Amino acid sequence: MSRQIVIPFGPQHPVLPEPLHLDLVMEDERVVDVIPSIGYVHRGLEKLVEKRDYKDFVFIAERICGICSFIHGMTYCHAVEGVMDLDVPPRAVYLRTVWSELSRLHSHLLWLGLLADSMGFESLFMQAWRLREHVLDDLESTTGNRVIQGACKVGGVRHDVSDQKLREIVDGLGQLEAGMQDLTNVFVHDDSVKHRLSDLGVLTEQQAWDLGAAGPVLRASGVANDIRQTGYAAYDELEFTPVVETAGDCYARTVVRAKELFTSVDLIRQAVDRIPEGPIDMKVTGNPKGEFYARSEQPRGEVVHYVKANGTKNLVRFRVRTPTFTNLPPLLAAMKGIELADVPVVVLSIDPCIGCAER
Amino acid sequence: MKREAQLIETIELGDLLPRVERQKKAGDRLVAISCAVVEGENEITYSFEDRAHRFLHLRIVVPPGATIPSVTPSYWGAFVYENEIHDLYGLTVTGMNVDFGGHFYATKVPYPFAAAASPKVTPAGKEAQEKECLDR
Amino acid sequence: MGVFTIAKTITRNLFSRPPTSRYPAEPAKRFDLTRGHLVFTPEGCRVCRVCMLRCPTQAIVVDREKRTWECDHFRCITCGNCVDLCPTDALHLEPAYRSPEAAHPAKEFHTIPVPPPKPEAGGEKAEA
Repeated sequence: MSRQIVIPFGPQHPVLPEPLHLDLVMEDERVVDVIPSIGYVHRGLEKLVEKRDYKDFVFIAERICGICSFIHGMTYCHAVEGVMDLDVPPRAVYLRTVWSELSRLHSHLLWLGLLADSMGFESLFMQAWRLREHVLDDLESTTGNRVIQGACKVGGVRHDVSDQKLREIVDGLGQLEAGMQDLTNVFVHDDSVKHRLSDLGVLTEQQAWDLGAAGPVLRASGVANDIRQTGYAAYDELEFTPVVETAGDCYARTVVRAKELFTSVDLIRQAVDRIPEGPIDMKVTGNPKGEFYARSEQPRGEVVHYVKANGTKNLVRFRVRTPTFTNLPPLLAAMKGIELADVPVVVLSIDPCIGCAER
Repeated sequence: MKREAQLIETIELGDLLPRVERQKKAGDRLVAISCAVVEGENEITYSFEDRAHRFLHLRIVVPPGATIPSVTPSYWGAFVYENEIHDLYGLTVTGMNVDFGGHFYATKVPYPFAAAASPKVTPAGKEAQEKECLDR
Repeated sequence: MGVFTIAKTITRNLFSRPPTSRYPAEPAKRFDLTRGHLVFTPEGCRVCRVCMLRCPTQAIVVDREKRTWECDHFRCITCGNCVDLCPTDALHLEPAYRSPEAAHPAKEFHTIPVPPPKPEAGGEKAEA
C-alpha cells in the first residue's frame, strides 16, 4: 500500500566516525531493506606487503586501525611466527596479553562513550572518555604512544615493562574499576538507556551464527564464542569465561561490552601475577616460507590474519579479515523493520570501523 | 601459547558447492573467503569454524579471470567477500544475492590485486627497492 | 536516597580538580617512552643506509656519495624502527612533538661529516 522511498544515510553523519554509506529503503518510517556501500577509504594496504620487509610490515599492519592497532600488530606477528615456527619468550607473550587487554579496555570505553553520544547522553559520553584517558596513559607510558602503540615486533616485544610499573598499572586499574562500576551501572540499569536500546535491532542466535557475526555481536545473541578461548598469546594459562547475553538486541550488545571491561581488568591482574622473568625478544634470522592463519579476539570481534611467504623477505600475500567486515551482513539483517530514528544507534551497536573493513 | 592447527584442504572447483553446503549442514560458520595470487593462479580459500573453534579451510585453485559459483545460497553473508574478490582480483562470481557490479570498492586501477598487476618479487628485489628509494 | 547521591556528586564536583589539564598554561603530559620526534646526530652516522632501507614509509633518504641524510617529516610516522636498527647511536627519539609545519615537503637535511682519525683522508670534504 505505502510507497517506498530510498533515504541515503552517510557517508557523512554525526554518529559515524568513518564513512559508511547505507541506502535505506523506507516504507513510511520503517526500514524494509538496506543496501550498504563501502569503498571510501580503501587503501590497498595488503598489497604493500610485496614491497616491504616482513619485519617492518608490522608497523603498517598496526596502522590498519587506529583503535585496535595493537592487536592487529600482534596478530600479524603471530602469523609470521607461525610460518617461521618461532617460540616467543614467555615474558613477551604475557606483555602482549596485558597490552591487548588494555587495548580492549580503551576500545570498549570509547565505544560506550560513542553510544551515549549517539543517543544524546552527553554527560555519560564525557564520563566514559574520562576513564579511557587513564588507560591511554598506561599505554603511552609503557609503549610510547596512546593509540598506535608500536610495541610488537616479530619475535617479541620492543619494550620491557618493569614489575613495579606493572604493579602500578594494576593498582590504577583498581581505582578505575570503581569508576567503571559507576559508569556501567548507568548503561545497564538506567531506565532511559534501557528504553532506548531494548528490543532494537534484534538478531537471533541462529541468524547471528549463520550470517557470520563475530565478537560482542555474536555473544550478545547467545553464542559463547570468544577467540581468546583458543589460547593464543597467554590466554591458555589465564582463566576467564566469555560474557554472553541472550536477547540479541542493542541493549544486550551494550551489556556484553560493559561486562567485558571487568573481564579485561581481571585478565590483566592474572597476567601480572603470573608474568615470568626473562628476555623479551629473540633473534629472528632468515625469511619465512609457508602460510599461516592467525586469529585473535579484537574488541570488535574476531580478526583473521593470513600470511603466505615464499622464502624471500617480502611476503607473497597478506590478508586481513576484520570484524567489521563480517559484521556487515548481520547489521543489514538487524536493521530490517526498525524505524528511521533508530538507524544511527543500530549502526553503532556493531561498533563499525570502516577503515579496518576496507584496509 | 597455543597455535591453531592449519587444516587446509585443496578441492576441485566442481566439489565446491556440495562441500560448502555440507559445512553449512554441519552447522559451521563462514569465517572468511580469501584470495591469493600464487604463481599466476588464484587460490581461493573458504574458512569455516564450528562451535568448538575448529578452524577448517577449503581451497580451490583457478586461473586468472575464471568464473566461480557463489556460495551465497548457503551463506547469505558471503556476498561481501565475493564482491571483494571480484573487485580486487577480476574473477567473475555468478549467482550472488547482492551484486554490486564492480562498485564495492573504488579503486584507481581495475582489479589491482590480480595476477597481471602483481610486480615480480625476485631475490634482486633489494636492489630495486634501493633504486626506488634513490629515484624518488 | 537520590537526593543524597546527587548532593554527594555536586559537592565532589565543586571541590575537585577537573580531570583535564590546563594545557597551554601547564605543559602537556609526556612520558619517557613517548615517541615524539626523531633526532639525527650527524657525527655518529656511518652512512650504512639501514634507516633508509628499512623505513616503513620511505621517509629517510641517505646519499653515500654526497654524505647527506634527509627525512621528510610528513612521511615519517615516528615508529622508531630506524632507532632500533641503527648500529651506532646516530638516531634517537625525543618525547616532545614537533611543531606544526605549513609547507609541504617538511624536509630535515643534514650533512654527515667525514670521521677524522681512522680512514686515511678520502679527499672530498663533505660539504653541501
